[in-house]
Amino acid sequence: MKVLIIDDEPLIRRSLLRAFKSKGYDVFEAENGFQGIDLWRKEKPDLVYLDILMPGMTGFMVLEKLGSARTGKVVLISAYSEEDKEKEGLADLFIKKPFEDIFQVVQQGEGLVKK
Amino acid sequence: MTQQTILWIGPEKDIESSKTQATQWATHPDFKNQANFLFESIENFIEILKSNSDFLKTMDVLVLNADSSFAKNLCFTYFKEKVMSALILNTQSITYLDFRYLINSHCNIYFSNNSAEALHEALNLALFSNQVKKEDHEFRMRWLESKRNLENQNQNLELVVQKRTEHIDESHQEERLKLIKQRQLIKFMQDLATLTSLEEILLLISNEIKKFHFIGSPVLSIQSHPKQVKIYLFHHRQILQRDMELNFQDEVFNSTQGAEDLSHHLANLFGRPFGKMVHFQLKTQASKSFSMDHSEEILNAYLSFESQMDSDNLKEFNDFIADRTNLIGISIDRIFYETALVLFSYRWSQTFEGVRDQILIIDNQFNILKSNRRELSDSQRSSGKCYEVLFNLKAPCENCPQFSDFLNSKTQRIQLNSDNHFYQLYSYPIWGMSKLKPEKYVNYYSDVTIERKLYMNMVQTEKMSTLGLLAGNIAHELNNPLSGIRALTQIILSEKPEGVNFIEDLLEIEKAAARCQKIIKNLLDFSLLENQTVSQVNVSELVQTTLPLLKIAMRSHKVLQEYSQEPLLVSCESQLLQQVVFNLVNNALQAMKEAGTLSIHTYQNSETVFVEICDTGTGVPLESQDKLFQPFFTTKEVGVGTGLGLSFSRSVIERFGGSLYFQENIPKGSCFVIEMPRSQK
Repeated sequence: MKVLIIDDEPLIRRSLLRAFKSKGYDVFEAENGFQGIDLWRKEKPDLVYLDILMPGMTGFMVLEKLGSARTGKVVLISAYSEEDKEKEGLADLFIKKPFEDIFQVVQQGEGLVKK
Repeated sequence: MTQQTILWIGPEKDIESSKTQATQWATHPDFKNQANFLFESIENFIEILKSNSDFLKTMDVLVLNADSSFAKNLCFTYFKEKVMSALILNTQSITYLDFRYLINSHCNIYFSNNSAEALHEALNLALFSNQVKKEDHEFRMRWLESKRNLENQNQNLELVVQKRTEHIDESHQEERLKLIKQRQLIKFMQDLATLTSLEEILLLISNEIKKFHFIGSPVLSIQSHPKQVKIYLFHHRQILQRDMELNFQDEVFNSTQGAEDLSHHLANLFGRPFGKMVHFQLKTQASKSFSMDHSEEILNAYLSFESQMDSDNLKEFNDFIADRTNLIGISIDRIFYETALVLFSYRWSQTFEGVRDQILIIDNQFNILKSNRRELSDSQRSSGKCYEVLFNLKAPCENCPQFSDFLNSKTQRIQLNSDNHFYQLYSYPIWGMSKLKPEKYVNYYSDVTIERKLYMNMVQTEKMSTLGLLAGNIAHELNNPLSGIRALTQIILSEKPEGVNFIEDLLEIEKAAARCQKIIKNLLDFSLLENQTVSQVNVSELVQTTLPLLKIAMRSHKVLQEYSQEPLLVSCESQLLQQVVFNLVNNALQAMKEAGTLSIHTYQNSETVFVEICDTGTGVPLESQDKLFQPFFTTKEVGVGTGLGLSFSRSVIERFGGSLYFQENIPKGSCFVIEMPRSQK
């Protein structure tokens, strides 16, 4: 299973990377939207963790730009829950930041793919 | 010319010769027609005298040529008694005795030597006598004439004198009348001078004209507007005032239309037709330069009377009123000026008194001359220094405009601060004789405390809202790395690395990160701007989530917390309630300058939830306790507090049906108690 993590916060990427790697998945990380789109097209991941608020390009813009090239399940992560809620439908799962338990986040992602 | 009668008396024998002699003399031109001669013998003469005793009376000159003593005595006796112009005696027949006798007579006696000479003398006497008579006559004539002249003159003079006397009498009478007239006028003038209203003037005029019969009561018309006339008149012995609209643009009675209008109007008013009216224009000057509006202006003033007088009496009446129109006009002017002045002064003082802000007129020694405010006592209004009365100071304010130079500007504007009040002072100088220093000042004190506090509050609110926004952003920015730190720590902990001794440390890091997240969450919730919906809130929990926000402020104090075991549920907007708690705890902490104890106690009874927040700080002085919850009341330095915290808090609590009040904390400090109705499940 290929997992792509697009987030500008290194510690978030690192913790998710570590969690998925420990489970034996291929994990790719991108620190902004542009890198994310490249990797998404190239690797065609099964699961993508996409941060909404990133400098340069938001998560929504990434999805828009990707268009039909979008593959796999998408988990959106955002701190601004209220205003992003209306665009929730764009993703398969919406997780509110900050999260209490990283393992729960990982499990929810896995669950999406295995369904 | 009359002829003198000369009587010759002598002896019979001498008659003829004497006649001849006399004729001879009498023909002489000098004596012609001067005399007639009568020749009588002594005997005849005696006989004649016997029968006619007055015979001698008709004689002018007697020539006595008698040596008969009887005849002589007879004549002499006569002469002695009766005046005769002359007696000529023939000296040959005269004796000494005769002479002695004749000396005492009243008669002119001449003596001659012979008869011829006697006749000559007699003619001379006659001639002289005639001349005398003639002159006498002429003199008499002249005398008579001059007498007549004199009499004429006298008569003329008498006439003149009489006329003069009559004239003087007349002019005296005239003067007297004039004087009476003048006196009446002066009296009228004096009476007018004491009057203070048009009605009184009307009354005076009405009394003044009482002596004229067939004249109605006076009507006074004042045109103060081109189209409006105020009419003052008597009606049933009362003075009324009526307005009359004019429908033309002209002086009222200069056109017949105006007079008709007035008569018509009066007729309507009295309910009877009006007869002939006489109008007098009063010379008034009131206003024009003086008036503030039309009501104080006089364009025209007229005095009118209804008259049933004949033209002779009317003339007297006309003169009588004409004498008075000037005086009346002046009085009306005076009353208008006075009224206008009183009005003007009244308006001014009303304006002065009505101004909400304090206005003082002070002299250049800071003494209050006049004040507009009723709050000041009379003694304060009229005496005392401005700084004493207004600000309770012992000396003038430091930046008092009186200390600055007024020469450069007309008005000084400064800010004054006294007893938590701020004043904007506008000082207008009033210059007197001296050009060095103003004599008086009009000081206008505008209380800008509220404006200033609102401004400070606005600044503070702006600052707080910026800070809130900033805090929100920072919180969000912190959330990301915090989530990362926590997540990574959890990952590492889950990997259960062996042979390391930092597992405990990692656990602490994870806990610290978790705490940070909680604080940030609280902060974000607190700074959320949008309205929250009313929900059930556990007050104890809410207090506990609020306290960490004030952790730094609390660190030097002891904090006692005592929460109810059961959940204390109330219905409210949690953010607002949290803000109230935050305010109260913050106040409590600020009230404790030195280390103290903050006690928080929550509990409930059957109906009410209580939150007590107490400190051991400075407490609230008694005089400030009732002001505590007033907006803008603050004990903090200017700009530190808004003075809105407690008033806001009370309004929030009251909105949710509760109350917020102050209690003294024993032994020291303050206690604020929130009471809220328990939420009904």
